[in-house]
Amino acid sequence: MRAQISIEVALMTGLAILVIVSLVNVQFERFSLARELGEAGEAKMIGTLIAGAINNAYANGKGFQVYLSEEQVNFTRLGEAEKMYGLGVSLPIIINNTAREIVIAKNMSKTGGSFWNVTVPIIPNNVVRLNPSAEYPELTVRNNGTNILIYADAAHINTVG
Amino acid sequence: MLREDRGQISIEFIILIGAIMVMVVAVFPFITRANELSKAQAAARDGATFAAGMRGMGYKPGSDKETPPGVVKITRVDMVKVGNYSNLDWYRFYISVHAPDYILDNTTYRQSLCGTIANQALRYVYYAFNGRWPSQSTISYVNTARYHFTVSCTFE
Repeated sequence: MRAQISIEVALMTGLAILVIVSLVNVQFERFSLARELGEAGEAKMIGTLIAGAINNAYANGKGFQVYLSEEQVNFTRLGEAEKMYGLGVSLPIIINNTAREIVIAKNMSKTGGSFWNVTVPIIPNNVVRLNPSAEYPELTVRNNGTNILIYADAAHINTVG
Repeated sequence: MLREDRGQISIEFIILIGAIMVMVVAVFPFITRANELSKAQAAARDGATFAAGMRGMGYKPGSDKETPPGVVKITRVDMVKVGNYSNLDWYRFYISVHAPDYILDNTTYRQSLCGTIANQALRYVYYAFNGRWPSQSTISYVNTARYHFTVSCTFE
């Protein structure tokens, strides 16, 4: 009777595998949903940070500048997410001067949508994008007395209107 | 024990397994239907919750009307059989939504919010049964082999 396995054990093992596999599938769906919502919240926060910097530069007058470090707004991280799974923020982030708002598009193709947009209002309508330099690294927002200048790569932030 | 007696199972066990198999085969259609309805309701709840979360943050899909951000919550998702559609059993999801007054007082916002939630719920139901997202951006029903699903959205 050595090295025998009962038929009950074989049946139960099969059933357990079926149950575990079905639970794993459900769990992955939920995980994907939660991650999408988290990334959408992150994208909105980035819009709010940029809008706050623009509004501060506008309100504080000529010569005032704000620098948002890479730890606060990390475009590389956002881009990587998009490459990996077709998710993430669709860059560039658009600053619409006419509508006075920042428009962020989030790719939702993994969870049943195409692109979902969120807008964050800003006060000025004279935001101009310039390429970053050694003096003004990405992402510096500066008031030069005439316009609100935002130093960022065109692939990351763009202005319209 | 003799060599030829090894690896045997008892006659009682064979009878028991046989009886279990007969019972499983008898109730299998009911289990399948219950499982499909359960899957549909879970999918509708996921879709509605996802849409409520996104609209609450201020996001809007494609051409939908923009609504101001606020606390949008799904309070109930009920599935009710409302009759037959063609030769399918017709089930409707009644989704109850809680939203701020500044959204509820505006007809455009209400319609936009409800439309997104209902559409996303149906898209998730479609995905649950087909394994892919529908090609149309907006759908008003989902048909499966046995069921016809629609959604009704109300505010609390």
